[in-house]
Amino acid sequence: MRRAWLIARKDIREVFGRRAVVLRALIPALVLPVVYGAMVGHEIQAAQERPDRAAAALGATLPLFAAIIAVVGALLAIMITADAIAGEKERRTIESLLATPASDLEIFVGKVMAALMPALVSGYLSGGIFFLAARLASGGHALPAVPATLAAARIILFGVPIIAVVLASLGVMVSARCSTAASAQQLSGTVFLPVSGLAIYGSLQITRWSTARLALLMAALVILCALLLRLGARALGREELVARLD
Amino acid sequence: MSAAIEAHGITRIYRGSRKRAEVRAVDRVDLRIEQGEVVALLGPNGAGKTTMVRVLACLLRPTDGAASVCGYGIREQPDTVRAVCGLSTETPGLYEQLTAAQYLTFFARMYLVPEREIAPRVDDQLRSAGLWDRRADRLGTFSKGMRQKINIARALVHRPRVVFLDEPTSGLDVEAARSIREHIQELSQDADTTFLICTHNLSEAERLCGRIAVMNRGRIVATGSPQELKDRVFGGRALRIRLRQALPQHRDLVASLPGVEQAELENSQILARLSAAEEEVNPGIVRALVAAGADIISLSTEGRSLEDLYLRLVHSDSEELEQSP
Repeated sequence: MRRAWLIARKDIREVFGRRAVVLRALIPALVLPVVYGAMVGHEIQAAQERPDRAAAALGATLPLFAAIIAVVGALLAIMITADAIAGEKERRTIESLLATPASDLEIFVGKVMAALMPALVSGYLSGGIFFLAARLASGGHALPAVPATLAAARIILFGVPIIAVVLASLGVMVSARCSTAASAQQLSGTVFLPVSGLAIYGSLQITRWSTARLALLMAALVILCALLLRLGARALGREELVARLD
Repeated sequence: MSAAIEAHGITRIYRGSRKRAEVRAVDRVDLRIEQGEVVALLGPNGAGKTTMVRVLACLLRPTDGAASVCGYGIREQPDTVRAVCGLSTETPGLYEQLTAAQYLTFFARMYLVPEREIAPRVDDQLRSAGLWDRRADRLGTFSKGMRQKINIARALVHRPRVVFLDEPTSGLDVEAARSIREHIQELSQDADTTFLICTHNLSEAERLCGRIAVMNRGRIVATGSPQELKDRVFGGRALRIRLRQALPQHRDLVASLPGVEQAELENSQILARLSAAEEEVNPGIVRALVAAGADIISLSTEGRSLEDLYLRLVHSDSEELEQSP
């Protein structure tokens, strides 16, 4: 997998050289947590006078906001993957990459990793900003130790990598099928919406689930991610990509 | 000598779709290239040159037929074939955010060149491509000629045993094309490396390559050295003899000499078709004509250009195909 790592590093360098792509994904990932954090902070402050209200109010908003933030944070993954293969086709760089002895799996994993790493950083950064903004907006009060707070932390901690892997894998598959980065981005939107919808719905259920059930869900998601990687490598297909170059 | 490339009956069909008809891009191609040879693959647009190269470089699977590169089967060991090949693509798409040195280092690593050898190899390639002074510059700032040079350097950085160069001077100005040609000429001195060069440029093929293969409509219609092919197609060399006064008896005299296949009278000139080498025939012709009292003004070889040859091969093949049921 050394070649996958090389491809990932090269792609990250390439993507971050094109600031417009990064800014488009980073701006909502940084602005949204500030807004949501401020709203949660306001509720925490209000709950200081009515402690009984804290659990109910936060129970409704915290997991939802955390899920949205995890999804928006991981959005960078799909923005990068849209460029991953389709962008290389457009810039005619894909042929020299496919001419190397790297396997389809190495190329696919490299592309996914290139999208995953910035998405993880962005997702966790968004989560950090969210909690920080909540604390600042509440006048320095800590988040109350209620199930919703724990659920929000879990969503950020585990949700970000899982959503990022799913989006990155699907994004690379979509990108391999498109001939331009712009069309890949448009098509990725159709993938992003159902995935984010599912992620948000799942997050809302999390507060009701036991730890064992959560562990089971995590295991299922990890298996899904592994399957997506295998499927993606097959879908990538050198043959198809080269045949469609002209 | 061992074959660097050996292909038998290679066929590649692009399957049709609702919008596109099925295309037989390469049709039962047989090709053998010895180690260290520099061979040009000539042909009009759409002849199947690029597809053939992609099949040999294991970017595309052949629909039918078999081929090996350096003894490795393209169906059985595609990864190994890719590892021993270098491919310079027709359109040099480059990673524009990387510097020239970073770009070559990336590809050297992708081919698993030992880490301690990467820096010297990258430096070598940059120097021999004349890009040493631009090694730290981003590729996005490179001119078309420089892009093509770095594209070729990329194909060579892992020291491949077989190099495919697809239209290496396409779209370049005269100076840049010449510089690339000189660069390829230097590289091709290495007897261990085999080059297959796809080109439209006939003079380039004649200058760089010992042998040419002409492709048309997916098939190889002729292979050989330019001279062999000219002899085969135009029936040997022709000698134009300009006399002060050319007479029919002079023509008959020339036609009767050994090594002369045929002689024609054209104005005050005799056009003799030779079946033997010029050095063997010409002195005899001169002696015979002088002895017959003819005043020879000039003697010149009637050159047939590679362009004539190419056009003849491609057109006659196309006509044959059109006439065949």
